Amino acid sequence: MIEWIFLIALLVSVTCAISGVFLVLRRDSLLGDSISHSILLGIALVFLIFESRDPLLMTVGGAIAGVVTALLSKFLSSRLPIDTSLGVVFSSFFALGVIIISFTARNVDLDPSCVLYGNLELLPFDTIGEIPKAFLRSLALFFLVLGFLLVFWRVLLVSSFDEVLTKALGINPKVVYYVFVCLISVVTVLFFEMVGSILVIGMLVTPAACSLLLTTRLNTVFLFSIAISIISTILGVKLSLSIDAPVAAGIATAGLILFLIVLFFAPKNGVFSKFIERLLTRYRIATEDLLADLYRQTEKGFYVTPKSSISRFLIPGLKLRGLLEGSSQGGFSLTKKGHDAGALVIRKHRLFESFLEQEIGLPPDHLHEISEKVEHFITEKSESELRESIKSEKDPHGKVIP
Amino acid sequence: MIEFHNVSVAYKKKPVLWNVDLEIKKGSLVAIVGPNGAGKSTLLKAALGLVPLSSGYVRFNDKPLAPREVSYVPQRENVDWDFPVSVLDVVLMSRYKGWFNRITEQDYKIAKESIERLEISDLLDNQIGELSGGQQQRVFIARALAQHSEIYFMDEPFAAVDAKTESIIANILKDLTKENKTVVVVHHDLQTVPEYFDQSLLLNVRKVAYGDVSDVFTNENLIKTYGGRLNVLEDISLEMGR
Repeated sequence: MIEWIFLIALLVSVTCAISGVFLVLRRDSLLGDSISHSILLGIALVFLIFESRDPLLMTVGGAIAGVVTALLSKFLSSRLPIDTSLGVVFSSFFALGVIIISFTARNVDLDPSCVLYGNLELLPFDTIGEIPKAFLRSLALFFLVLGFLLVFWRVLLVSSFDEVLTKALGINPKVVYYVFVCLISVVTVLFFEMVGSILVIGMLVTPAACSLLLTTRLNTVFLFSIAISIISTILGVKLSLSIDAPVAAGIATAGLILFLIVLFFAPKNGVFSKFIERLLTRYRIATEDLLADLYRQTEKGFYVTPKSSISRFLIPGLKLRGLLEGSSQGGFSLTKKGHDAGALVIRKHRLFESFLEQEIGLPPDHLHEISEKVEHFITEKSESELRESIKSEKDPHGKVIP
Repeated sequence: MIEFHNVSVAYKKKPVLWNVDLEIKKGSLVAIVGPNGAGKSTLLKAALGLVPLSSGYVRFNDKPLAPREVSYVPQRENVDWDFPVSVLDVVLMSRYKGWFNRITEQDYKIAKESIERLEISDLLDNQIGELSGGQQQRVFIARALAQHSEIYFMDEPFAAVDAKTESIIANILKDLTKENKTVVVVHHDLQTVPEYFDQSLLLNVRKVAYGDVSDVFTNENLIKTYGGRLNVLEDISLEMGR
């Protein structure tokens, strides 16, 4: 039985993950949330009118509710901000749905907690032969979504990126939008029983959100989204079974944990990596400033600097890189390599001062402060460009440019 | 020929374009100039059907101008630069054909040739947000070229670009004219208009003048275009000088 729960959960989350990529790229996550709520009205109306829980009828009802939500909020958005109109529309649709269900469906097995987070763990009991109906339904939807994306990914891509070009290519971006709204509605309706109408948005949006922090290519965004949804399903199902919590909540929680990990540790955009990067830059600047200082001392004829005037934090690193050596008199002095490194910083500093004076025309007392900051960010390329435009051997203060 | 006939556009009842009549001949290289809020971008958008007209029409060779006949380069700030697409992806988009499209070898070739012309071949696989402003601008011009249209609309392609990009774009404009394409550019730098363009439209909600740059770029027309504001400034500075 657990195997079936796993399989169904995997299909649900992978399908959600691949449907959600364009939702996030279109910046329509709130629309997805709205649709997943509004479909309740569609489902409830199907109950009310047909007194049926036929999946096909429910899908059609949900899709209509989704499209009407999108249409209505677009209509209202000429008077109200789009997030406000979406908020008004979806909450009222949801409320209507709840009311209709409570007075028509007293004898139907649909309870409010199912609306909240579904009942994936009960679905394997409802089978055709040996195979749970929910599994077959999820498998069919997975292939439907996959096929749709494989055929139309370019249309979705261009219409998410540039509406004007989309029109120029002879594709109506509004049609793309409503077709996509239908897709999201169908996904949320068919997964309604399994994950409810609230947690589905997390399964749609979180994997894509993680992936976009990790990569800047569309195909890898898809691959990462699938990988993240698989990992969060495995973790989530285990978690929820071990503490007897709803499976959908477990998956969404695992997704959150993965998101936090990515947010902090993503190699390029992560909070933690940014912090490390800043720390390293500060260390580099401090080191370069110290080397430049020591170099200036040697210009004045002081080759040994007392230990007390060098920051304790910098000494080990500099010694390790062979830039600094202890001298017999008890202080520190620059090695040949350290002397060259200091000269490089001073060269950049004085070249930039000369540049500011000659090309920008700043007065001499304006040059040092800014160059002291800029010297750390002059690349080899910019340095040689500066060298070319600065002909003089000395900086504006009369000091030799090394 | 592109014909603007009595074109008016209003945003929330405030007129942005007023009764503009204009005939742009095939092979023209036109700079649209005018102060902020003069309706320069709106004129292009009106022609593309992106904003509703309150009066008039825009025609191309006596038929309504269809968006697919125009390569459009949007203003840089209207692009989502965080979007996960590479330079090649963006340029290839102009080769998509309808709902069921297939990208052929030929399409790749055309896209790469346009990228080559803009001298950004070394950035083919870079995500568009990683580029400098000038390079980003060149990506969209490459995309417009790859679209192989007869008409090119560009909204401020020279805004805040480096000198190299500026000269590359200027050359592309000349080349397009040689190929007898019609190019209409919203331009903000009055000084370079005579160098880069053949014709100019002076616009300030209404059309002030249209024709060859040498004919329409008169002091009188420019003052009319940039309007009372210049006079006011002149008056004020005179007062202050007393």
